[in-house]
Amino acid sequence: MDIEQVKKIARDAISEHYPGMAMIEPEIEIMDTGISKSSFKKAGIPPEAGKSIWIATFRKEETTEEGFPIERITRVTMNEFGEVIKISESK
Amino acid sequence: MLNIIWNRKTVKKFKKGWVESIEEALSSIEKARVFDTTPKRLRDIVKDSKGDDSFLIIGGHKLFPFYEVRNPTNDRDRVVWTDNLYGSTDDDPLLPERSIGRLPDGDNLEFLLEKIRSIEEFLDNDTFIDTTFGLSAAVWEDTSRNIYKIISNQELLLSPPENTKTIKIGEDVDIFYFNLHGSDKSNKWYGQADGRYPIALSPDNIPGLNNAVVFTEACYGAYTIDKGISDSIALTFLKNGVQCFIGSTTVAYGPPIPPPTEADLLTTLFFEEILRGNKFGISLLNAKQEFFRKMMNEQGFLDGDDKKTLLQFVLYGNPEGRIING
Repeated sequence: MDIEQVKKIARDAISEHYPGMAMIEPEIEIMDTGISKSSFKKAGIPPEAGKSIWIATFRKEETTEEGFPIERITRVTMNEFGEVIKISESK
Repeated sequence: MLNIIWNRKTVKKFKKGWVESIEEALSSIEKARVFDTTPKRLRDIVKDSKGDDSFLIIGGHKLFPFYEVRNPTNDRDRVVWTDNLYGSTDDDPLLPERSIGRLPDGDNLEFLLEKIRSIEEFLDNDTFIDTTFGLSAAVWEDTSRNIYKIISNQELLLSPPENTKTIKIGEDVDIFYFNLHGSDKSNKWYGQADGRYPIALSPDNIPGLNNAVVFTEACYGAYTIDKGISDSIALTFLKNGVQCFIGSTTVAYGPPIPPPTEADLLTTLFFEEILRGNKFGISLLNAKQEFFRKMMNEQGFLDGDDKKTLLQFVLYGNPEGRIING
């Protein structure tokens, strides 16, 4: 996967719910999802190795009806093969 | 057992004239142990505690600082403020092992004393869920309805059309659910639909309440650093009689549509826990641990937003309180 492919997948994924966001240039990063063994122990499940995932972050500033700026973030989480796992947005 | 945590030295340093009043209020509490300690030494107290011990921190960020974790996701927050570490027996703040709550001070001694004096009142008086209030940004209607119906068969309000001028909150509400936008620079929460972001809730909307519970998903819903009471919906709720307020210290996340993830999932799991009759602190603790298991099981990993969700949601109020599904 190259970054341009990842961007296209992310844009396609959000175009239905966030057509305005899909026009924005996303920030792309690769993340290792590794978590300490301690957290697995606390949750009572066996530890698992981290995975490499792609994250695409779209940012846009909106304005409330009182004229107050708020930053909106829409994020697409993809696995290492570019399959979309999750779409999230800021509250 | 409930363990009350404060730091006399820090209170004396930052709040002239507060130490004696807080000391006096704490001395009248009979059903809890009181520790004058530092964040560092609290870790040793937690290590030596039992699994059913709970911890209640006295004061906001200045009097007993939140633990700061580097933000695991890409947004405007440099750090995530959390109390998770104070409920952990090791150095890993992602998941707590003890239930933990905090009484923020809102830079107001009388407010803090009132909350301290009410600690034992909530231990002795269970509140029953009778009347609920739910308000969501209209764009999140589907996911919010699924969450709200866990605790209520009453109507979920949507903003827009609802806004700060149209909503009326009754004094008899026992439990609140909010899925709105928030900001660290504003004392209002906002709705959303069709590119509009109306003011959905302001401190002026909050009446006097009687031991109610609030769960908000709003960004910065529990951000209280350097805030006075009227600067914060969270502090106004607490001032007006809420016994348990749960919200996020930083930018929070959720999906556009069901199924629930991130803040929506944590809310879902918390409501399921309190309906089982669990106390607030244990409910949030269990919800965070179940969130972790569920994401590992269904998604195979936790991304930055998931980790941030676990860190950022804090409980204001007595972790030993509970609300009964009546």
